[in-house]
Amino acid sequence: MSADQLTARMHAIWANLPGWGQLAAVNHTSIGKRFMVTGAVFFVIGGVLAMLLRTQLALPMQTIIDADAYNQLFTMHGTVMMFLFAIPILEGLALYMIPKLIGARDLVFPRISSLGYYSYLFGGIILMSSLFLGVAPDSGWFMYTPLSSAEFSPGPGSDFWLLGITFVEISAMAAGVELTVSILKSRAPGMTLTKMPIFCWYILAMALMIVFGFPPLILASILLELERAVGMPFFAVAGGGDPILWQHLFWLFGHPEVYIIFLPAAAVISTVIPVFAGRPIIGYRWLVLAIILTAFISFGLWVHHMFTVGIPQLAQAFFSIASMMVAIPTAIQVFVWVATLWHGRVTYNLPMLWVFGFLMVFVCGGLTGVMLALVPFNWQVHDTHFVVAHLHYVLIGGMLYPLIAGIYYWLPHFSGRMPSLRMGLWGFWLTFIGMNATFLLMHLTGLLGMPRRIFTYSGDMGWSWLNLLSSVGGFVMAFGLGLVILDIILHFRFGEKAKPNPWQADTLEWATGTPPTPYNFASIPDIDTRHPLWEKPELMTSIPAGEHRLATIEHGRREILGTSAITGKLQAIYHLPTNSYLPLLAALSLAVVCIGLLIRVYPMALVGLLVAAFFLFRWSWENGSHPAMAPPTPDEDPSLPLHSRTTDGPGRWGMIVTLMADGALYLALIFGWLYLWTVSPEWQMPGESLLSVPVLLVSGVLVTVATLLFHRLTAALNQGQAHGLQMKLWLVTFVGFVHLALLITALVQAPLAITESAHDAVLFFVVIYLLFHSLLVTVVTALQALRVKYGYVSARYPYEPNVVRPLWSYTLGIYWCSVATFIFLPMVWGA
Amino acid sequence: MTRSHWMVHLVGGLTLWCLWFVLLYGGLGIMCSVASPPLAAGQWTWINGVLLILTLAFTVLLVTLARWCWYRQETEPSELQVYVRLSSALYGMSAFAVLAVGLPVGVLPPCA
Amino acid sequence: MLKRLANSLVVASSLFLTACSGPMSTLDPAGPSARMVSGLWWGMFVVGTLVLVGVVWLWWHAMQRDGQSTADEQLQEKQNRWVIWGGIALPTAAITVLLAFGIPAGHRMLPWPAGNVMEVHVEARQWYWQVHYPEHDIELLNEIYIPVNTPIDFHLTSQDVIHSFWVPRLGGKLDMIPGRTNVLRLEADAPGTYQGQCAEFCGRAHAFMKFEVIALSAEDFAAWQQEHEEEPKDER
Repeated sequence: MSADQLTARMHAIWANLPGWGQLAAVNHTSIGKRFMVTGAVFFVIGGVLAMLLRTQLALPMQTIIDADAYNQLFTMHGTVMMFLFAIPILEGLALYMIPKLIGARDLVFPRISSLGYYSYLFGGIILMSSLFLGVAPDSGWFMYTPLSSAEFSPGPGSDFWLLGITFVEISAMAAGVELTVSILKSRAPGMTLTKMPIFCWYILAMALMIVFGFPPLILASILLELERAVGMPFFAVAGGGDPILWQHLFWLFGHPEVYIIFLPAAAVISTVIPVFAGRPIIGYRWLVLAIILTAFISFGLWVHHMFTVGIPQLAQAFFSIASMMVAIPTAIQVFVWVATLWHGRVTYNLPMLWVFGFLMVFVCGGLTGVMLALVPFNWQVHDTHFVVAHLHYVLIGGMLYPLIAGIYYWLPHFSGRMPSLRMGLWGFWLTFIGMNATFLLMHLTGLLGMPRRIFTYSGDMGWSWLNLLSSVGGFVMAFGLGLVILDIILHFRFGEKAKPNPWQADTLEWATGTPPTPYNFASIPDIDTRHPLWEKPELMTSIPAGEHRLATIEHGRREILGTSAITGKLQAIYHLPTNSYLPLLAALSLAVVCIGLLIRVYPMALVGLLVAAFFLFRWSWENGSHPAMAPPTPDEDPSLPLHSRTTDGPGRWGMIVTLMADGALYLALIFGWLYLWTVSPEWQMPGESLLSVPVLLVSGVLVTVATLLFHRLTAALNQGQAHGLQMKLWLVTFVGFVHLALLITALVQAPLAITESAHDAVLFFVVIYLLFHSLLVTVVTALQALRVKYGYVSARYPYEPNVVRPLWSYTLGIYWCSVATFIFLPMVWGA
Repeated sequence: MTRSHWMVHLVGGLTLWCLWFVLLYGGLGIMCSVASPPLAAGQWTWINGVLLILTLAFTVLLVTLARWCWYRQETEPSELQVYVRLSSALYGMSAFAVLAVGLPVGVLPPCA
Repeated sequence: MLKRLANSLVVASSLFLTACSGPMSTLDPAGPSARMVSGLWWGMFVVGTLVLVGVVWLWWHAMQRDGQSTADEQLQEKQNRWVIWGGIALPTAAITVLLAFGIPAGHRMLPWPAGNVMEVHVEARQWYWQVHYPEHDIELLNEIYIPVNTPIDFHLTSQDVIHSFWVPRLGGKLDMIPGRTNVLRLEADAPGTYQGQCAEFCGRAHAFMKFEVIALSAEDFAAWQQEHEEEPKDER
């Protein structure tokens, strides 16, 4: 086949459907771009909100915006910027870049990318609609209870926040899981972990941080929504709950989240600097060390948002020192960058200008961050404009500047056109000057005692001139950012055409074409260097010419290479799903669930849930050797099998990473339980177990039996023995259902007063959590039995039971762990 | 040794750090709710003693692991040496992090 | 010439001082806690500025110079030197110094047992402050009278949402949380009126949830106390 024929055929297989068919797109380039464009729209909305806030604060005692509106505006500004702009746009960048950097044609779970995008879009729209309906959440983006609870926020505002954000978080979790698995399992052959571009290390860390960091907030949101809707008193003192639990769970997410935002931004910096310094980054391994340190230590800092809560000073000191220590990995990175510039020869252009701006602003924000970590100082400036200034320095400096640097750097990649220098310069300087005018003096405003989140102030406090200056600066900055956005939009039409690899970069994404083809690489090269395009410039032509691996397309499958996690050794071919409407349909049904819960029409939510479950199970059905996925073909190469013909593959890894996230949520739940038990002022522990212990034990024995049976049948299947497979699977399903029925019996019989006692409410929630998992794994096992019947699972296709296997282990694990922690521990310890 | 073994070491040090942190913070909370010594007792209380022992034990453990990794460098195949060295450095840094964060146990009273 | 310089210095420093003063300025301390924090701030400000300028200068210089002459063999050593000195030693030293000042400062702010401590109970509600003197059975609203040079233990709690008690010129803030009581130790050096405000966002009138701490000399305070104790309670 000639190169042209190859290209044409590749296009036919990999392109999105035309017209409305674009809605079915699953391609990571399309989804990544959609994330980024949507994120930019939300950025503009969040920016307009900020300008309204600054208008109101420009002069003392203004009445342009009243307190109610102001509270909605600042809540939405924070929420939009964090959840609808910063995280999604960086996820979008990561989704767009990662396969191109590691030599893959797509992410390993393309339909998940699409589901993530629609969850983000619909969740964002639902949240924004509250603003236009005039009932936006108004308890702050941190939603502290009891202010956000039903008693003090009776309107639907808090519900919009809790449900909308949880919906949006599906997209973050989706990105977290699929980025982790893609980076670990689908790199070009020969690309060991330490041969990956440094960008991938950052994104790997970010993805894993999402996996562990987001679940506490998802749990907290579910609990608070249950408190608001049903009256389960998780955070209400009177029922034995504690409002501080919310703060712990929120910041347990909230602080890692800052680094979830910073790491991809630092990834951009670490990518751009070596290219423009004309030399490899100095200290790659130091960066890896710093990334791993940051990813872990950022989980030990959350209480520094809570220094004024009244926690013992000793405990505060632990968090204070841990917070300061995070300066070490950050400083390592800064000095690695300095060293790279020092030992290189710098070419000046627009991305480098933003990188320089990043450095000044971010270092300043980092220094005030270390100051804030000092407990006595924090007591003074916490919740003042000093903190507002600090966080904007960190987030604008540490996220927005690198993002814009990255956008300018990759513009030729997105559009095939170069950015223009003139307008870009104006945009930078106006933004830079405006930003510092707004926030530098705001440190002083805070030191002079201006608290956060006040909608106005009297003129005799000494804050007036500072606020006026900040407001003027804010508008200058807004103007500058407007120019940047305009510049980027105009460049799509007026930009000069870009040459291939216009910046002489070293990484593979520039070999995918400018703009990239939907399949990225017509053939996938072996990579044994961190700088493929510097060391083998011929890749620019040999890849499109089909001179490397996987250059056959006659089978009509979307295929990428599967490699081992550490050494990048070639293991299998991963076949990927093609365009599909299922993610859209599933997300739409979930939106119905969300709206049903919001307007408290629960039958509607239930119907939505069932429809969503139907679409999701249909989705799982179109897998493996199903005709819509990878039906058997005569020319399969047994030495490099398709993954659904093996016992390992991306789905199994995806399952394991998802269960890690699930486990993080479960651990947060156990933390909540132990926290309420030991700390909550009105907590009541009943003298004996409210759930019938014998029933629980029998149910536990059954889930153990089911799990063991399932493990044995998969082990046999992996040995090639599929005799009686269907019957065995039906047997496991049956045992699973009996286990489920017993657990439901235990729950129904228990005298739980879920609206009066936090203890009973937590117990109820735990049992529901167990029921959900047991039901899911049982239904999935039943589907496996059906798939055996249809011939999609057999000795030749042993893959799927291996995917389900960890889910059984997890279900078993949480069952006994829950019985031990929530039933036996209180019995042993005594009430 | 298998390859995945070194992946465990890559995150092992900081996982131990996290575990220690949970024990430290959680333990302090629980001990203070069980038997809170008066503020006047200062920092020389049984709670500080327990936390100090915990901190020192983890430091010793992490230092031992760092040394163990360091001396394994030679015996591993060359493509894995980078992970061995990184693991050793990370164990060392975790030990430092345990010691540094645990330091105020000797200075501050536990429950106020 | 010298005189003009001296004059402008006086003008500059008085401008500076005006810029730092204000009814709620943490940089205009009137009590031991606030003074310690303001001292910490100025120290951190100077060191922080030096570090910022140093790093930016390094970066700027690194961008100007052409460093491609460095031989690859030397790079490994050089990179380690950059990272170990700049990335590890610098922040470690800075943190150590910071903690050496910071932890003892926090230590001193604890409500240590002492002879002359006075107890004042404050309960917050949306959006006002109820003050109660347990030893004298006095009730006040949105104002607190205290004697100077006496450590006061404020026992803080809330009846509805979370609020935060803050008198910037006297010291740091502490949250008021339903279901628990937090104790904040403050002290005023000189007689005067010190403004306080709720620092934790608490709903619609958060911006107006203010109060005043009036510090009186020992004699004035005794007189005030007597006057209030004699007053029959139901008149207020």
